[in-house]
Amino acid sequence: MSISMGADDEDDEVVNKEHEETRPLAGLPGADRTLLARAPLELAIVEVRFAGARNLPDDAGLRMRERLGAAGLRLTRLEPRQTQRVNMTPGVAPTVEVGTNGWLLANPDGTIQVTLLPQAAVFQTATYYRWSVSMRPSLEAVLAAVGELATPPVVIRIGLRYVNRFVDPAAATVAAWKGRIDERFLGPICHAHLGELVKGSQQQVDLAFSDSQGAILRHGPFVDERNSRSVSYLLDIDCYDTTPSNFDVTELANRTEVLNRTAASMFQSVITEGYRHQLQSDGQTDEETTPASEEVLR
Amino acid sequence: MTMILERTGSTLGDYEELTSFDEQLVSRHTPARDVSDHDLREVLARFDITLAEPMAPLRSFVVTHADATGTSISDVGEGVVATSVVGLLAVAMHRTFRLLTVVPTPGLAADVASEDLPVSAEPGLTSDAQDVVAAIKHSSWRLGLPQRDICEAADVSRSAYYTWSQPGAPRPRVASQGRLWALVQFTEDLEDLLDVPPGQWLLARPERREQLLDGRFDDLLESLRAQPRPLRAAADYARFLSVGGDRLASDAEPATLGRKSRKTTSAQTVSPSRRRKK
Repeated sequence: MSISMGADDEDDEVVNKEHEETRPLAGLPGADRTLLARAPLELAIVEVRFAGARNLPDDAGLRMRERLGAAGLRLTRLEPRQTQRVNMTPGVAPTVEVGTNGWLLANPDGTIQVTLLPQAAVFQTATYYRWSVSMRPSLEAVLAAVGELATPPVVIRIGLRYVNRFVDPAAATVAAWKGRIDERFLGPICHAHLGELVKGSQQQVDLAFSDSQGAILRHGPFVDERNSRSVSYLLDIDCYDTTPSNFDVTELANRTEVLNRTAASMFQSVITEGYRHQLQSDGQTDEETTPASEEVLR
Repeated sequence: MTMILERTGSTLGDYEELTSFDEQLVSRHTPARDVSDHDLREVLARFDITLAEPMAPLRSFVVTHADATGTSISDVGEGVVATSVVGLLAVAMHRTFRLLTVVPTPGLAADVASEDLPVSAEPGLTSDAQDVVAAIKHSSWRLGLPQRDICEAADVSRSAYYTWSQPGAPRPRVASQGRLWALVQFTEDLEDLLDVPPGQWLLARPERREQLLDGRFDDLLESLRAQPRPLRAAADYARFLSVGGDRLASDAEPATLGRKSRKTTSAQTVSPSRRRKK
Protein backbone atom coordinates (compact mmCIF):
# COMPACT_ATOMS: atom_id res chain seq x y z
CA MET A 1 0.00 0.00 0.00
CA SER A 2 1.77 3.10 -1.11
CA ILE A 3 0.31 5.49 1.36
CA SER A 4 2.11 8.69 2.01
CA MET A 5 2.90 8.85 5.64
CA GLY A 6 4.04 11.09 8.39
CA ALA A 7 7.58 11.23 9.63
CA ASP A 8 8.97 8.38 11.63
CA ASP A 9 9.01 9.36 15.26
CA GLU A 10 12.33 7.69 15.94
CA ASP A 11 14.12 9.31 13.08
CA ASP A 12 13.03 12.86 13.21
CA GLU A 13 11.61 14.36 16.37
CA VAL A 14 11.57 17.85 14.93
CA VAL A 15 9.43 16.84 12.00
CA ASN A 16 7.16 14.94 14.33
CA LYS A 17 6.43 18.08 16.31
CA GLU A 18 5.68 19.95 13.15
CA HIS A 19 3.31 17.23 12.06
CA GLU A 20 1.77 16.53 15.38
CA GLU A 21 -1.68 17.37 14.16
CA THR A 22 -1.54 14.81 11.40
CA ARG A 23 0.18 12.02 13.25
CA PRO A 24 -1.62 8.70 13.55
CA LEU A 25 -4.42 8.55 16.04
CA ALA A 26 -4.17 6.97 19.46
CA GLY A 27 -0.42 7.34 19.58
CA LEU A 28 0.16 4.69 16.93
CA PRO A 29 3.69 4.77 15.61
CA GLY A 30 4.39 6.75 12.49
CA ALA A 31 4.87 4.64 9.41
CA ASP A 32 7.84 4.18 7.18
CA ARG A 33 7.52 6.60 4.29
CA THR A 34 9.13 4.47 1.65
CA LEU A 35 6.79 3.69 -1.19
CA LEU A 36 6.14 0.08 -1.96
CA ALA A 37 7.51 -1.16 -5.24
CA ARG A 38 4.88 -3.85 -5.28
CA ALA A 39 1.88 -2.09 -3.87
CA PRO A 40 -0.96 -4.46 -2.93
CA LEU A 41 -3.53 -1.68 -2.81
CA GLU A 42 -6.58 -2.51 -4.91
CA LEU A 43 -9.02 0.14 -3.84
CA ALA A 44 -8.92 3.41 -1.95
CA ILE A 45 -12.11 5.13 -0.89
CA VAL A 46 -12.74 8.34 0.95
CA GLU A 47 -16.28 9.20 1.90
CA VAL A 48 -17.65 12.26 3.66
CA ARG A 49 -21.20 12.05 4.98
CA PHE A 50 -23.40 15.02 5.66
CA ALA A 51 -26.44 15.82 7.69
CA GLY A 52 -29.01 18.42 6.83
CA ALA A 53 -27.83 18.76 3.27
CA ARG A 54 -30.05 20.35 0.69
CA ASN A 55 -31.17 18.52 -2.39
CA LEU A 56 -28.73 18.78 -5.23
CA PRO A 57 -29.47 21.06 -8.17
CA ASP A 58 -30.74 19.30 -11.25
CA ASP A 59 -27.50 19.93 -13.10
CA ALA A 60 -25.30 19.05 -10.14
CA GLY A 61 -23.58 16.22 -11.97
CA LEU A 62 -22.67 18.36 -14.92
CA ARG A 63 -21.46 21.21 -12.79
CA MET A 64 -19.49 18.80 -10.65
CA ARG A 65 -17.84 17.37 -13.71
CA GLU A 66 -16.85 20.82 -14.91
CA ARG A 67 -15.40 21.76 -11.57
CA LEU A 68 -13.49 18.54 -11.20
CA GLY A 69 -12.19 18.89 -14.75
CA ALA A 70 -10.94 22.36 -13.95
CA ALA A 71 -9.15 20.87 -10.95
CA GLY A 72 -7.47 18.27 -13.14
CA LEU A 73 -9.76 15.37 -12.38
CA ARG A 74 -11.25 14.47 -15.73
CA LEU A 75 -14.20 12.14 -15.39
CA THR A 76 -16.02 11.66 -18.65
CA ARG A 77 -18.75 9.31 -17.53
CA LEU A 78 -21.76 10.87 -15.90
CA GLU A 79 -24.60 8.71 -14.68
CA PRO A 80 -27.58 9.65 -12.57
CA ARG A 81 -28.02 7.82 -9.33
CA GLN A 82 -31.66 7.62 -8.46
CA THR A 83 -33.56 5.15 -6.40
CA GLN A 84 -37.24 4.43 -6.33
CA ARG A 85 -38.52 3.31 -3.04
CA VAL A 86 -41.49 1.06 -2.79
CA ASN A 87 -43.01 0.67 0.61
CA MET A 88 -44.33 -2.82 0.87
CA THR A 89 -47.05 -3.59 3.31
CA PRO A 90 -48.55 -7.03 3.18
CA GLY A 91 -51.94 -7.00 1.59
CA VAL A 92 -51.56 -3.47 0.33
CA ALA A 93 -50.39 -2.37 -3.06
CA PRO A 94 -46.82 -1.06 -2.91
CA THR A 95 -46.46 2.69 -2.91
CA VAL A 96 -43.69 4.15 -4.99
CA GLU A 97 -41.71 7.20 -4.17
CA VAL A 98 -38.52 8.70 -5.45
CA GLY A 99 -35.57 8.09 -3.24
CA THR A 100 -32.19 9.67 -3.42
CA ASN A 101 -31.07 11.68 -6.40
CA GLY A 102 -27.41 11.84 -7.10
CA TRP A 103 -24.69 11.43 -9.65
CA LEU A 104 -21.86 9.09 -10.43
CA LEU A 105 -18.89 10.49 -12.28
CA ALA A 106 -16.18 8.15 -13.50
CA ASN A 107 -13.37 7.77 -15.94
CA PRO A 108 -13.98 5.44 -18.90
CA ASP A 109 -12.79 2.26 -17.21
CA GLY A 110 -14.40 3.06 -13.89
CA THR A 111 -11.19 2.95 -11.92
CA ILE A 112 -11.74 6.47 -10.64
CA GLN A 113 -15.18 7.43 -9.42
CA VAL A 114 -16.85 10.28 -7.67
CA THR A 115 -20.31 9.76 -6.25
CA LEU A 116 -22.32 12.77 -5.27
CA LEU A 117 -25.41 12.38 -3.14
CA PRO A 118 -27.23 14.86 -0.93
CA GLN A 119 -25.98 12.90 2.06
CA ALA A 120 -22.46 12.08 0.97
CA ALA A 121 -19.56 12.69 -1.35
CA VAL A 122 -17.34 9.78 -2.26
CA PHE A 123 -14.06 9.56 -4.08
CA GLN A 124 -12.89 6.09 -5.02
CA THR A 125 -9.86 5.00 -6.97
CA ALA A 126 -8.30 1.74 -8.04
CA THR A 127 -5.22 3.53 -9.33
CA TYR A 128 -3.75 4.84 -6.12
CA TYR A 129 -0.22 6.09 -6.15
CA ARG A 130 0.26 8.14 -3.05
CA TRP A 131 -1.81 10.25 -0.73
CA SER A 132 -0.46 13.57 -1.84
CA VAL A 133 -1.05 12.72 -5.49
CA SER A 134 -4.02 10.41 -5.69
CA MET A 135 -6.22 11.30 -2.79
CA ARG A 136 -5.85 14.67 -1.15
CA PRO A 137 -6.07 16.84 -4.27
CA SER A 138 -9.04 14.86 -5.53
CA LEU A 139 -10.77 14.96 -2.17
CA GLU A 140 -10.28 18.69 -1.92
CA ALA A 141 -11.58 19.17 -5.45
CA VAL A 142 -14.67 17.08 -4.73
CA LEU A 143 -15.40 18.81 -1.45
CA ALA A 144 -14.87 22.23 -2.96
CA ALA A 145 -17.38 21.40 -5.66
CA VAL A 146 -19.82 20.07 -3.11
CA GLY A 147 -19.47 23.29 -1.16
CA GLU A 148 -20.41 25.27 -4.22
CA LEU A 149 -23.33 23.09 -5.21
CA ALA A 150 -25.00 22.48 -1.88
CA THR A 151 -23.04 23.44 1.16
CA PRO A 152 -23.84 20.82 3.78
CA PRO A 153 -24.31 22.38 7.19
CA VAL A 154 -22.85 19.50 9.15
CA VAL A 155 -20.37 16.74 8.43
CA ILE A 156 -21.12 13.64 10.46
CA ARG A 157 -18.59 11.13 9.25
CA ILE A 158 -15.34 10.83 7.37
CA GLY A 159 -14.32 7.41 6.23
CA LEU A 160 -11.11 6.31 4.58
CA ARG A 161 -10.79 2.76 3.41
CA TYR A 162 -7.90 0.90 1.83
CA VAL A 163 -8.44 -2.56 0.41
CA ASN A 164 -5.19 -4.45 -0.07
CA ARG A 165 -4.66 -7.81 -1.68
CA PHE A 166 -1.32 -9.45 -1.07
CA VAL A 167 -0.61 -11.88 -3.85
CA ASP A 168 1.91 -14.67 -4.15
CA PRO A 169 1.36 -17.06 -7.07
CA ALA A 170 3.49 -19.62 -5.27
CA ALA A 171 1.37 -19.56 -2.13
CA ALA A 172 -0.33 -22.93 -2.23
CA THR A 173 -1.48 -22.87 1.40
CA VAL A 174 -2.24 -20.26 4.00
CA ALA A 175 1.02 -21.19 5.68
CA ALA A 176 2.77 -19.24 2.96
CA TRP A 177 1.77 -16.09 4.82
CA LYS A 178 3.66 -16.98 7.93
CA GLY A 179 6.52 -14.58 8.29
CA ARG A 180 4.73 -12.01 6.14
CA ILE A 181 1.68 -11.26 8.20
CA ASP A 182 2.18 -10.66 11.92
CA GLU A 183 1.49 -13.98 13.56
CA ARG A 184 -0.86 -12.35 16.06
CA PHE A 185 -3.12 -11.57 13.15
CA LEU A 186 -2.63 -14.95 11.55
CA GLY A 187 -3.93 -16.55 14.73
CA PRO A 188 -4.89 -20.19 14.19
CA ILE A 189 -2.84 -20.39 11.05
CA CYS A 190 0.18 -20.49 13.34
CA HIS A 191 -1.28 -23.30 15.41
CA ALA A 192 0.97 -26.35 15.52
CA HIS A 193 -1.76 -28.86 14.72
CA LEU A 194 -4.59 -26.91 13.16
CA GLY A 195 -2.59 -24.41 11.16
CA GLU A 196 -2.03 -26.72 8.22
CA LEU A 197 -5.72 -27.46 8.06
CA VAL A 198 -6.86 -23.88 7.70
CA LYS A 199 -8.24 -23.20 4.24
CA GLY A 200 -9.42 -19.68 4.75
CA SER A 201 -10.14 -17.14 7.40
CA GLN A 202 -12.16 -13.97 7.59
CA GLN A 203 -11.43 -11.86 10.61
CA GLN A 204 -12.62 -8.47 11.71
CA VAL A 205 -10.97 -6.32 14.32
CA ASP A 206 -12.74 -3.22 15.61
CA LEU A 207 -10.47 -0.53 16.96
CA ALA A 208 -11.48 2.57 18.91
CA PHE A 209 -9.06 5.45 18.85
CA SER A 210 -11.45 7.70 20.74
CA ASP A 211 -15.17 8.01 21.33
CA SER A 212 -15.67 9.14 17.77
CA GLN A 213 -12.70 7.74 15.89
CA GLY A 214 -11.91 4.18 15.09
CA ALA A 215 -11.17 1.60 12.48
CA ILE A 216 -12.50 -1.66 11.21
CA LEU A 217 -9.80 -3.99 10.06
CA ARG A 218 -10.77 -7.02 8.04
CA HIS A 219 -8.20 -9.50 6.98
CA GLY A 220 -7.59 -13.09 6.11
CA PRO A 221 -6.26 -15.49 3.49
CA PHE A 222 -8.47 -16.66 0.68
CA VAL A 223 -8.24 -18.76 -2.44
CA ASP A 224 -7.71 -16.25 -5.19
CA GLU A 225 -9.49 -17.13 -8.40
CA ARG A 226 -7.75 -14.31 -10.20
CA ASN A 227 -4.33 -15.70 -9.40
CA SER A 228 -4.50 -19.34 -10.39
CA ARG A 229 -6.20 -20.29 -7.16
CA SER A 230 -3.17 -19.47 -5.11
CA VAL A 231 -3.75 -18.21 -1.58
CA SER A 232 -3.83 -14.44 -1.40
CA TYR A 233 -4.31 -12.32 1.70
CA LEU A 234 -6.85 -9.53 2.06
CA LEU A 235 -6.17 -6.60 4.32
CA ASP A 236 -9.07 -4.16 4.40
CA ILE A 237 -8.48 -1.10 6.57
CA ASP A 238 -11.41 1.22 7.15
CA CYS A 239 -10.65 4.22 9.36
CA TYR A 240 -13.36 6.65 10.32
CA ASP A 241 -13.95 9.83 12.24
CA THR A 242 -17.52 10.57 13.30
CA THR A 243 -16.78 13.85 15.07
CA PRO A 244 -19.48 16.28 13.91
CA SER A 245 -18.13 19.41 12.34
CA ASN A 246 -18.88 22.25 10.01
CA PHE A 247 -18.18 21.87 6.35
CA ASP A 248 -14.69 23.18 5.83
CA VAL A 249 -12.71 21.74 2.94
CA THR A 250 -9.25 22.19 4.39
CA GLU A 251 -10.22 20.97 7.81
CA LEU A 252 -11.89 17.90 6.34
CA ALA A 253 -8.84 17.17 4.22
CA ASN A 254 -6.60 17.47 7.27
CA ARG A 255 -8.74 15.11 9.28
CA THR A 256 -8.74 12.65 6.42
CA GLU A 257 -4.99 12.92 6.28
CA VAL A 258 -4.84 11.92 9.91
CA LEU A 259 -6.90 8.88 9.04
CA ASN A 260 -4.51 8.18 6.20
CA ARG A 261 -1.52 8.18 8.49
CA THR A 262 -3.39 6.03 10.95
CA ALA A 263 -4.21 3.55 8.21
CA ALA A 264 -0.59 3.49 7.14
CA SER A 265 0.51 2.75 10.67
CA MET A 266 -2.03 -0.03 10.95
CA PHE A 267 -0.93 -1.46 7.63
CA GLN A 268 2.64 -1.66 8.77
CA SER A 269 1.57 -3.17 12.06
CA VAL A 270 -0.15 -6.05 10.34
CA ILE A 271 2.63 -7.07 7.99
CA THR A 272 6.04 -8.09 9.23
CA GLU A 273 9.02 -5.84 8.82
CA GLY A 274 10.70 -8.35 6.57
CA TYR A 275 7.73 -8.51 4.23
CA ARG A 276 7.51 -4.74 4.20
CA HIS A 277 11.10 -4.51 3.10
CA GLN A 278 10.39 -7.10 0.48
CA LEU A 279 7.50 -5.03 -0.83
CA GLN A 280 9.60 -1.92 -0.66
CA SER A 281 12.49 -3.32 -2.64
CA ASP A 282 13.20 -1.03 -5.54
CA GLY A 283 10.89 1.44 -3.89
CA GLN A 284 11.64 5.06 -3.31
CA THR A 285 11.19 7.44 -0.44
CA ASP A 286 8.05 9.48 -0.68
CA GLU A 287 9.73 12.85 -0.58
CA GLU A 288 6.64 14.69 -1.64
CA THR A 289 4.72 13.93 1.47
CA THR A 290 6.44 16.21 3.90
CA PRO A 291 6.19 19.46 1.96
CA ALA A 292 2.56 18.78 1.17
CA SER A 293 1.77 18.16 4.79
CA GLU A 294 3.68 21.22 5.91
CA GLU A 295 1.73 23.31 3.51
CA VAL A 296 -1.52 21.95 4.82
CA LEU A 297 -0.60 22.61 8.42
CA ARG A 298 0.81 25.99 7.85
CA MET B 1 -35.33 -5.54 -6.75
CA THR B 2 -33.58 -3.53 -4.15
CA MET B 3 -34.48 -3.78 -0.53
CA ILE B 4 -33.48 -0.93 1.65
CA LEU B 5 -33.19 -1.41 5.35
CA GLU B 6 -33.81 1.66 7.34
CA ARG B 7 -31.89 2.23 10.50
CA THR B 8 -33.29 0.51 13.49
CA GLY B 9 -34.89 2.86 15.93
CA SER B 10 -33.38 3.75 19.24
CA THR B 11 -36.00 2.04 21.34
CA LEU B 12 -35.30 -1.57 20.85
CA GLY B 13 -36.08 -5.00 22.07
CA ASP B 14 -33.60 -7.74 22.72
CA TYR B 15 -33.30 -8.99 19.23
CA GLU B 16 -33.48 -5.56 17.70
CA GLU B 17 -30.64 -4.51 19.94
CA LEU B 18 -28.48 -7.17 18.44
CA THR B 19 -29.47 -6.13 15.00
CA SER B 20 -29.00 -2.50 15.76
CA PHE B 21 -25.56 -3.20 17.08
CA ASP B 22 -24.67 -4.98 13.92
CA GLU B 23 -26.26 -2.40 11.72
CA GLN B 24 -24.39 0.32 13.49
CA LEU B 25 -21.29 -1.64 12.76
CA VAL B 26 -22.20 -1.71 9.12
CA SER B 27 -22.91 2.00 9.08
CA ARG B 28 -19.42 2.55 10.39
CA HIS B 29 -18.07 1.02 7.24
CA THR B 30 -16.94 3.09 4.34
CA PRO B 31 -18.82 1.37 1.54
CA ALA B 32 -17.19 0.45 -1.71
CA ARG B 33 -19.29 1.45 -4.67
CA ASP B 34 -19.41 0.02 -8.14
CA VAL B 35 -16.22 -1.98 -7.77
CA SER B 36 -15.27 -2.72 -11.34
CA ASP B 37 -12.97 -5.60 -10.40
CA HIS B 38 -15.32 -8.56 -10.23
CA ASP B 39 -12.90 -10.76 -8.33
CA LEU B 40 -12.23 -8.13 -5.72
CA ARG B 41 -15.95 -7.57 -5.35
CA GLU B 42 -16.41 -11.27 -4.74
CA VAL B 43 -13.70 -11.33 -2.11
CA LEU B 44 -15.16 -8.35 -0.28
CA ALA B 45 -18.59 -9.94 -0.43
CA ARG B 46 -17.16 -13.11 1.05
CA PHE B 47 -15.91 -11.16 4.02
CA ASP B 48 -19.23 -9.35 4.30
CA ILE B 49 -21.09 -12.61 4.35
CA THR B 50 -18.89 -14.09 6.98
CA LEU B 51 -18.65 -11.12 9.23
CA ALA B 52 -22.20 -10.96 10.40
CA GLU B 53 -23.82 -8.16 8.54
CA PRO B 54 -27.58 -7.99 8.42
CA MET B 55 -29.10 -10.09 5.68
CA ALA B 56 -25.94 -12.15 5.38
CA PRO B 57 -27.78 -15.45 5.02
CA LEU B 58 -29.67 -13.99 2.12
CA ARG B 59 -26.56 -13.26 0.16
CA SER B 60 -26.96 -16.43 -1.79
CA PHE B 61 -30.04 -14.82 -3.24
CA VAL B 62 -29.11 -11.19 -3.34
CA VAL B 63 -26.18 -8.87 -3.74
CA THR B 64 -26.04 -6.62 -0.76
CA HIS B 65 -24.15 -3.43 -0.33
CA ALA B 66 -24.52 -0.27 1.65
CA ASP B 67 -25.12 3.13 0.25
CA ALA B 68 -23.39 6.27 1.35
CA THR B 69 -25.71 6.69 4.27
CA GLY B 70 -24.92 3.25 5.59
CA THR B 71 -28.25 1.91 4.51
CA SER B 72 -28.05 -1.71 3.47
CA ILE B 73 -29.33 -2.35 -0.02
CA SER B 74 -29.93 -5.78 -1.42
CA ASP B 75 -30.26 -6.26 -5.14
CA VAL B 76 -32.03 -9.40 -6.25
CA GLY B 77 -30.73 -10.66 -9.52
CA GLU B 78 -32.80 -11.74 -12.44
CA GLY B 79 -33.87 -15.33 -12.48
CA VAL B 80 -34.33 -15.49 -8.77
CA VAL B 81 -37.71 -16.67 -7.70
CA ALA B 82 -39.03 -13.47 -6.27
CA THR B 83 -41.61 -14.98 -4.06
CA SER B 84 -39.27 -17.19 -2.10
CA VAL B 85 -36.72 -14.48 -1.70
CA VAL B 86 -39.20 -11.87 -0.72
CA GLY B 87 -40.85 -14.22 1.70
CA LEU B 88 -37.54 -14.97 3.34
CA LEU B 89 -36.48 -11.37 3.33
CA ALA B 90 -39.78 -10.29 4.70
CA VAL B 91 -39.60 -12.74 7.56
CA ALA B 92 -36.11 -11.64 8.43
CA MET B 93 -36.79 -7.97 8.06
CA HIS B 94 -40.15 -8.15 9.67
CA ARG B 95 -38.33 -9.32 12.74
CA THR B 96 -35.33 -7.19 12.34
CA PHE B 97 -35.96 -3.78 10.99
CA ARG B 98 -38.48 -1.17 11.79
CA LEU B 99 -39.30 -0.34 8.24
CA LEU B 100 -39.13 -2.26 5.06
CA THR B 101 -38.69 -0.35 1.89
CA VAL B 102 -38.19 -2.13 -1.34
CA VAL B 103 -36.97 -0.87 -4.64
CA PRO B 104 -38.22 -3.30 -7.25
CA THR B 105 -36.94 -4.09 -10.64
CA PRO B 106 -39.81 -3.27 -12.98
CA GLY B 107 -42.30 -6.05 -13.01
CA LEU B 108 -40.86 -7.84 -10.04
CA ALA B 109 -43.02 -6.34 -7.37
CA ALA B 110 -46.09 -7.76 -9.01
CA ASP B 111 -44.70 -11.24 -8.47
CA VAL B 112 -44.85 -10.87 -4.75
CA ALA B 113 -48.02 -12.35 -3.46
CA SER B 114 -49.29 -11.10 -0.17
CA GLU B 115 -49.51 -14.63 1.11
CA ASP B 116 -45.73 -14.82 0.91
CA LEU B 117 -45.43 -12.16 3.52
CA PRO B 118 -46.13 -12.31 7.20
CA VAL B 119 -48.93 -10.16 8.45
CA SER B 120 -47.18 -7.12 9.79
CA ALA B 121 -49.97 -5.67 11.89
CA GLU B 122 -52.35 -7.35 14.21
CA PRO B 123 -55.41 -8.27 12.19
CA GLY B 124 -58.68 -7.20 13.55
CA LEU B 125 -60.21 -10.29 15.00
CA THR B 126 -63.77 -10.69 13.99
CA SER B 127 -66.46 -11.59 16.37
CA ASP B 128 -66.72 -14.89 14.57
CA ALA B 129 -64.00 -16.91 16.20
CA GLN B 130 -64.44 -19.63 13.62
CA ASP B 131 -63.28 -17.40 10.85
CA VAL B 132 -60.44 -19.42 9.44
CA VAL B 133 -59.08 -16.54 7.43
CA ALA B 134 -58.75 -14.41 10.51
CA ALA B 135 -57.20 -17.32 12.34
CA ILE B 136 -54.59 -17.81 9.66
CA LYS B 137 -53.77 -14.13 9.57
CA HIS B 138 -53.64 -14.01 13.30
CA SER B 139 -51.27 -16.95 13.44
CA SER B 140 -49.13 -15.33 10.77
CA TRP B 141 -48.96 -12.20 12.82
CA ARG B 142 -48.29 -14.04 16.05
CA LEU B 143 -45.58 -16.26 14.63
CA GLY B 144 -44.14 -13.79 12.19
CA LEU B 145 -44.35 -16.32 9.40
CA PRO B 146 -45.75 -15.92 5.91
CA GLN B 147 -49.37 -16.88 5.51
CA ARG B 148 -48.19 -19.46 3.02
CA ASP B 149 -46.26 -21.20 5.79
CA ILE B 150 -49.22 -20.97 8.10
CA CYS B 151 -51.40 -22.64 5.49
CA GLU B 152 -48.87 -25.40 5.09
CA ALA B 153 -48.51 -25.88 8.83
CA ALA B 154 -52.29 -25.95 9.17
CA ASP B 155 -52.66 -28.29 6.22
CA VAL B 156 -54.96 -25.82 4.54
CA SER B 157 -54.66 -25.59 0.79
CA ARG B 158 -53.68 -22.21 -0.54
CA SER B 159 -56.47 -22.34 -3.09
CA ALA B 160 -58.99 -22.90 -0.32
CA TYR B 161 -57.52 -20.06 1.66
CA TYR B 162 -57.75 -17.84 -1.39
CA THR B 163 -61.35 -18.82 -1.90
CA TRP B 164 -62.22 -18.18 1.73
CA SER B 165 -60.60 -14.78 1.49
CA GLN B 166 -63.00 -13.64 -1.19
CA PRO B 167 -66.10 -11.65 -0.29
CA GLY B 168 -69.15 -13.83 0.07
CA ALA B 169 -67.16 -17.01 0.28
CA PRO B 170 -69.00 -20.01 1.66
CA ARG B 171 -68.27 -21.13 5.15
CA PRO B 172 -65.31 -23.52 5.15
CA ARG B 173 -66.00 -27.16 5.71
CA VAL B 174 -64.41 -28.54 8.84
CA ALA B 175 -62.56 -31.15 6.84
CA SER B 176 -60.92 -28.38 4.81
CA GLN B 177 -59.60 -26.66 7.86
CA GLY B 178 -56.93 -29.27 8.42
CA ARG B 179 -55.11 -28.76 11.68
CA LEU B 180 -55.65 -25.03 11.80
CA TRP B 181 -57.14 -25.01 15.25
CA ALA B 182 -54.37 -27.22 16.55
CA LEU B 183 -51.99 -24.63 15.19
CA VAL B 184 -53.90 -21.86 16.91
CA GLN B 185 -53.70 -23.75 20.17
CA PHE B 186 -50.04 -24.46 19.59
CA THR B 187 -49.42 -20.77 19.10
CA GLU B 188 -51.13 -20.01 22.37
CA ASP B 189 -49.08 -22.63 24.18
CA LEU B 190 -45.89 -21.37 22.63
CA GLU B 191 -46.53 -17.86 23.80
CA ASP B 192 -47.23 -19.08 27.30
CA LEU B 193 -44.01 -21.02 27.48
CA LEU B 194 -41.67 -18.63 25.77
CA ASP B 195 -40.12 -15.48 27.01
CA VAL B 196 -39.22 -14.44 23.49
CA PRO B 197 -41.43 -13.97 20.45
CA PRO B 198 -42.54 -17.39 19.17
CA GLY B 199 -41.31 -16.74 15.67
CA GLN B 200 -37.90 -15.95 16.99
CA TRP B 201 -37.73 -19.27 18.73
CA LEU B 202 -39.09 -21.13 15.74
CA LEU B 203 -36.54 -19.65 13.40
CA ALA B 204 -33.67 -20.29 15.77
CA ARG B 205 -33.23 -23.75 14.31
CA PRO B 206 -34.20 -24.76 10.79
CA GLU B 207 -35.59 -28.06 12.01
CA ARG B 208 -38.15 -26.25 14.15
CA ARG B 209 -39.64 -24.59 11.13
CA GLU B 210 -39.69 -27.92 9.37
CA GLN B 211 -41.49 -29.49 12.30
CA LEU B 212 -43.98 -26.67 12.26
CA LEU B 213 -44.66 -27.06 8.55
CA ASP B 214 -45.11 -30.79 9.09
CA GLY B 215 -47.64 -30.09 11.79
CA ARG B 216 -45.56 -31.71 14.51
CA PHE B 217 -46.70 -29.28 17.14
CA ASP B 218 -46.42 -31.68 20.04
CA ASP B 219 -42.83 -32.45 19.17
CA LEU B 220 -42.05 -28.77 19.19
CA LEU B 221 -43.70 -28.22 22.55
CA GLU B 222 -41.94 -31.23 23.95
CA SER B 223 -38.55 -29.96 22.85
CA LEU B 224 -39.40 -26.58 24.25
CA ARG B 225 -40.34 -27.96 27.63
CA ALA B 226 -37.17 -30.04 27.65
CA GLN B 227 -35.05 -26.93 27.52
CA PRO B 228 -33.45 -26.61 30.94
CA ARG B 229 -32.72 -22.91 31.03
CA PRO B 230 -34.94 -19.89 30.68
CA LEU B 231 -35.68 -19.41 27.07
CA ARG B 232 -33.90 -16.82 25.13
CA ALA B 233 -32.77 -16.02 21.64
CA ALA B 234 -30.66 -18.99 20.73
CA ALA B 235 -27.23 -18.49 19.30
CA ASP B 236 -28.31 -20.32 16.20
CA TYR B 237 -30.89 -17.68 15.57
CA ALA B 238 -28.31 -14.99 15.64
CA ARG B 239 -26.24 -17.03 13.28
CA PHE B 240 -29.18 -17.62 11.04
CA LEU B 241 -29.65 -13.94 10.62
CA SER B 242 -26.00 -13.20 11.22
CA VAL B 243 -26.58 -10.31 13.47
CA GLY B 244 -23.89 -10.34 16.04
CA GLY B 245 -24.34 -13.49 18.02
CA ASP B 246 -21.69 -12.33 20.40
CA ARG B 247 -24.12 -9.75 21.64
CA LEU B 248 -26.56 -12.27 22.89
CA ALA B 249 -27.23 -11.63 26.51
CA SER B 250 -25.29 -13.92 28.77
CA ASP B 251 -26.64 -15.79 31.73
CA ALA B 252 -25.50 -12.92 33.83
CA GLU B 253 -27.79 -10.55 32.01
CA PRO B 254 -31.25 -11.94 32.45
CA ALA B 255 -32.77 -8.52 32.80
CA THR B 256 -32.25 -7.74 29.17
CA LEU B 257 -34.26 -10.74 28.12
CA GLY B 258 -37.42 -10.08 29.94
CA ARG B 259 -38.10 -6.61 28.81
CA LYS B 260 -41.76 -6.25 28.10
CA SER B 261 -42.53 -2.75 27.07
CA ARG B 262 -41.03 -1.54 23.88
CA LYS B 263 -42.05 1.23 21.69
CA THR B 264 -42.14 1.05 17.98
CA THR B 265 -40.94 3.90 15.92
CA SER B 266 -42.80 3.25 12.76
CA ALA B 267 -46.39 2.68 12.02
CA GLN B 268 -45.38 -0.07 9.66
CA THR B 269 -43.59 -2.06 12.27
CA VAL B 270 -44.78 -4.31 14.93
CA SER B 271 -42.16 -5.17 17.48
CA PRO B 272 -42.08 -8.87 18.29
CA SER B 273 -42.97 -8.08 21.84
CA ARG B 274 -46.19 -6.46 20.72
CA ARG B 275 -47.22 -9.60 19.01
CA ARG B 276 -47.20 -11.39 22.25
CA LYS B 277 -50.45 -12.23 23.77
CA LYS B 278 -51.81 -9.51 25.88
